[in-house]
Amino acid sequence: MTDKRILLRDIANCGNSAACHQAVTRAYSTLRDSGATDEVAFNAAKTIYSWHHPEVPKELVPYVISDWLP
Amino acid sequence: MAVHEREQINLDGPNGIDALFSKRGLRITAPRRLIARVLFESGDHPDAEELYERVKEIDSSISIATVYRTMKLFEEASIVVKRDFGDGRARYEPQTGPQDHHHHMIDIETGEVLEFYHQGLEDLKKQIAKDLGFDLVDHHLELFGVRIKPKN
Repeated sequence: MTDKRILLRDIANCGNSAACHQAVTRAYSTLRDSGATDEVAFNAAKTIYSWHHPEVPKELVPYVISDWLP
Repeated sequence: MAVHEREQINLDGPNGIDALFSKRGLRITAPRRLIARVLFESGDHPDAEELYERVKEIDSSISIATVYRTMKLFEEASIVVKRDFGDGRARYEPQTGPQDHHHHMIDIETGEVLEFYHQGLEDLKKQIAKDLGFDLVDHHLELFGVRIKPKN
């Protein structure tokens, strides 16, 4: 638990201007605006984040991007 | 050995959710209050997605990102504990206090999780720590098994 928390803190520092942050938030809002459900848009955002950060364990991804999405 | 019964707290009482938030320094918001209520009223160990499904039934305006963010916050504030039952999902259970200490027996065929408390086990763990030169301050234990089938 502690190890993962440290990892989460360390990987969650991509700023608003980072490419991953912009791609994730843009994908989520575009999909939502086009009528996609919250789950569909969130899953797409997870996939995009993982494409930018394949080193981040999949189970941590939703926690990271949850700070960036409404 | 005893099957563990979770402590039932009056969520709306003086020691309820709002008091818990205040005690842990958390700002009270409607989504946080609802997510906490759904979790505390759950008898099982939902992951964030299961919690989201349950919360959405009550308030569809709460997003899945809000649920993940809130669970992260609750974990940091020690309102919940994250559990790993070996299926790759981070599951949660309320953390009400040391009196709620228990362990888990996981049926690997059905995924059923039983909570139990065993005083002999607690004493043994303290003794092991002592024998190794430590005071035991924390531990958790998950047992994995299959149900014993009746012989006839």
